[in-house]
Amino acid sequence: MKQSTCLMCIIWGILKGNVELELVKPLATFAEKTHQEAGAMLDENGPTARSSRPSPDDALPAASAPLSPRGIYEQITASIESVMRGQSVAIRRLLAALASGGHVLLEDYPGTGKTTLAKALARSIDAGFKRIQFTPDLLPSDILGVSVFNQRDQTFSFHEGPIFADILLADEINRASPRTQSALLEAMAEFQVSTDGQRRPLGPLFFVVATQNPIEFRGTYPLPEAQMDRFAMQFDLGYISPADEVAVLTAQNDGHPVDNVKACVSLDDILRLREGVQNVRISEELKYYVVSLVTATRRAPGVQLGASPRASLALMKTAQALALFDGQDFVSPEHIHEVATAVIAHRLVLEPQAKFSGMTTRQVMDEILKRVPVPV
Amino acid sequence: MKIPRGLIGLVLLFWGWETGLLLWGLLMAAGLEASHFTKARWELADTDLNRICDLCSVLFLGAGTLLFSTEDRLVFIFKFAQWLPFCFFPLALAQCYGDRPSIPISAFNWLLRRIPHSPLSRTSFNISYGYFAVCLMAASASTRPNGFFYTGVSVLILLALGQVRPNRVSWPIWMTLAAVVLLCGKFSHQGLRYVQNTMETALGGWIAGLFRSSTDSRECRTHIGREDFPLSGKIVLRLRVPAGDVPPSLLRVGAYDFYRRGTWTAGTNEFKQAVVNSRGTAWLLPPKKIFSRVEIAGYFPDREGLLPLPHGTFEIENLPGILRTNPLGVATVQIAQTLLDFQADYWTGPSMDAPPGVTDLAVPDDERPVLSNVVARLGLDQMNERQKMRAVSRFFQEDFHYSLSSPGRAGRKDRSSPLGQFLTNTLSGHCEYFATATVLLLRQAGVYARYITGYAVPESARHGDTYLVRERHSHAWALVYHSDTKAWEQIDNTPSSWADVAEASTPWWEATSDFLSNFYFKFSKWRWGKSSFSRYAQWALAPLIFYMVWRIFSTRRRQHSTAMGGPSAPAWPGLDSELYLIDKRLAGVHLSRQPNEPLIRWQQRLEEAFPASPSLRGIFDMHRRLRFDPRGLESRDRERLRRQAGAWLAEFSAHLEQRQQTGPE
Repeated sequence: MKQSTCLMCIIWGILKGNVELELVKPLATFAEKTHQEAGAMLDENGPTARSSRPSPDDALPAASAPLSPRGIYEQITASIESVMRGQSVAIRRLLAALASGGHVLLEDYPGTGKTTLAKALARSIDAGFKRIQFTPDLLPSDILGVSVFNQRDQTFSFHEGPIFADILLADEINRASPRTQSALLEAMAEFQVSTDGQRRPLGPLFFVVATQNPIEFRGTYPLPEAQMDRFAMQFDLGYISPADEVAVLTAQNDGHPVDNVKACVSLDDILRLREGVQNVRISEELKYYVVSLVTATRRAPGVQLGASPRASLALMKTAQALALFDGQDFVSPEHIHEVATAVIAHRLVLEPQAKFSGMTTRQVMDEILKRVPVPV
Repeated sequence: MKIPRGLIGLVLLFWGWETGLLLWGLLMAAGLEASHFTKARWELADTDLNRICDLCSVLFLGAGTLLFSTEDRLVFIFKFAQWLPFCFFPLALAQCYGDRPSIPISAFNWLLRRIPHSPLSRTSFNISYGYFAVCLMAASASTRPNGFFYTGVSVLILLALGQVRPNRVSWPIWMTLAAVVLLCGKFSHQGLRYVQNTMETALGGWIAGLFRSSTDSRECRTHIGREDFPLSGKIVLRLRVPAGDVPPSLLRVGAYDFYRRGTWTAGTNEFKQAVVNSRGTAWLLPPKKIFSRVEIAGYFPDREGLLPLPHGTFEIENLPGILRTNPLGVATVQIAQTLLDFQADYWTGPSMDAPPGVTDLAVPDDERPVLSNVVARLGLDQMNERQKMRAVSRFFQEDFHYSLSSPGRAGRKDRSSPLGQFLTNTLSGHCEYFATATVLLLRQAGVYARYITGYAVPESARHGDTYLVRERHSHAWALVYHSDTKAWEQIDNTPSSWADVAEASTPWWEATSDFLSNFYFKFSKWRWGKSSFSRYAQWALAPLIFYMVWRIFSTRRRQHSTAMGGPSAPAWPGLDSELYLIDKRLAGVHLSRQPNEPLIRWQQRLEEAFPASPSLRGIFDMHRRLRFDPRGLESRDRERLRRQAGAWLAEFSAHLEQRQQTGPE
């Protein structure tokens, strides 16, 4: 029955001259059903929130054979690049964090596409996406959820907060008070939430993309060191080239391109991608190199607090993800080199004297990368 | 901005030629220029550069201290400037042989080292041109007459500037403009020199008048009528005599023959230069067989002054300077150093004082009444020369006593002079009263006499084998002429109690100040080459320099070992990869891997350099797998890597040979 429906639709699409568009609908119907079944299974295991589940129009195409981990990466990259022009490096880093199980902090000026990037990623994956706009009056319960007394049943029922999502966009995270920011600590590190004395596990994907603005200081609260350490990576997008910016303008003629993004991979694909990353081999020598880089931050002049072993772990995993993206089944020093600054720099705390002299953590990392001998 | 090849060598040769250090210049030029023929480079971190700069600082300060201690002040400045290329040579070596194109400015400044990430600290520059300028300056400090200096400097500067000639200016125009600038510079230089000479001549006399020394051979203002008499314990002279001998009791500094209102002046001030041979020996009188010897050491801050000598000095040894004497027996010296340590041989016979003249009998009119009364009272007119001297001496010894509290003008009851008060009322005063009164009384009585200033050497001045003459030992006495022996004799009529009064004013801290003074004296002796300590001091710098060089190298070793993970780091697999042979082979064509360059960047550079060599990518891929894949390379692939790398090397060698035969394109 399903096969005949698909065939009819393909014929109809050919007649209309738009095969791609028409292919999606029946496949989406199939995908939706699949997800509903999966959701039902998840519901049996524990509470889930899928408030921002992609619409049927956005559903992923069915594939006869499961995509390879690298194919998954390429699918998502192509999907996001249809929205984000000239940001291939940022997309690669974002996906490296996603694939390695880390979280990302995007710090850049307003209007550079931080939220769009996160949205594009969320829409490219058939997973639950929620967005929290952080404000000074936001409370931890607004993020985690709250238990409400049900008068009819005379019981308390827990209403999940937006944190119960697969992909969470924490927009302008530094606008919330430290208390509220800290609500994310447990979730980001342990993939669970403890409320009312009960442990509530989060979804297997749970990926936080936080954004913050580097130039505004009034009414903001800098993220505490512990919170910064929870992010696997921090990077900026930067301004794109004029040609790419023109292309962005052109793409807006028919509505915002992010609205047209359709899910191209499933949650299982992402979990398979993560599994693939774990299977990437890394030599002892490169582990030494990772540790040397991180250790060097603890001895670097002007640095009050160096990077933690968590940074070593994040660097190794991210490098594994990059190796996978490059089609390698082992990590090369270049992969470590590529993300070392993004993974380590935001975890460093500079001495006040160094800070006042204009020193930045990125400069520290650049210097360390120059100094620590890279294996060849 | 890199300096043109060979320019550093040229400027070093020019410096060596100008300063007479040609051999050193040749060696240093060869050392620096050899960097163009070797590809080996020294991996230098910031800390290494800091230490190299510290080493240069030590050399700089060491050279400065050494030259300051051993050379004359003027010679020191010029010689120090000449030595600067030595001091900064380690830095030049680091620039030439180091792997860094420029040296950060923080290496030169300890403050900037504390803020390594400030924009100023991160500023770096190539010091080659700086070293070039230092060499030129050092060459300019040469005092050897050489007419080619300006030409040489001009050529070197033109060679340096030619490298940065703007393209919009053609070579002929640029050369013409350069020639005009050089000619203007030449004439301006000559003009400035003329102006400088004129100014020096005009201002010299005026400045000399402002800073005239208090010890003047022409005039001596006594403290007669004043209450300020120097009682400082500052050591001014150190005397040493052979064991068993006694030092001269008086050391003469000045001699004067005309008195008026408290001021003695010298009627003649015609100094004649004495002959000083190359060993620093001067003969003031013919050699004597029976004589005494004293070694005198003292400071001459102005590098000239009146020489303290015993009466009857006929020979001076170890006098490295110009000696002049006047008819009053005063000797002035002009030396190149501030410490003078000489030996004087003296005897008791006739001295170098000129025979008496009419001024040696002159008595001021305002003092004449008092003097006449005293002479009459003592009955000197009826005595012979020697009796007059004895009578005057007895007069002061019986009726007078020594006192430093002579009444000032306010304390006087009548309008008589201070000297008159001394002779008639107070009967007390210090040595200048006694000396002046003695001279004038004897003159009034018809005996030739002169007023002498200098230092007394009391027994209390003895400290071990050295007699310390202090400022409070400054003294005045009379010199009288014996007509029968035709010789001048010293008469000191100041009561001997003056030494006790002087010693009574000794401050409690004098022992401490003596210790410091002795320390400075020993340092000065070493500084001016009067001590054998100087040659040991020069070698004292050697361990310090050795230690700093050792630190630089040992730290490099330590850094390498720690960077690689410490001694516990195991031997990594794949270190026998043939890619390293390619790296070594490419060093000759500047395509070898740069220090700490990631593999991927090096690969990209090579692929750009050898676009027609597709096997490179495969070699790199296999090398990566061999090195970084925990599973390693299969034996078949390992053999393939070996084969492909060998083939690539053979192809590359053939390509090089072909290029050498056909020449560069």
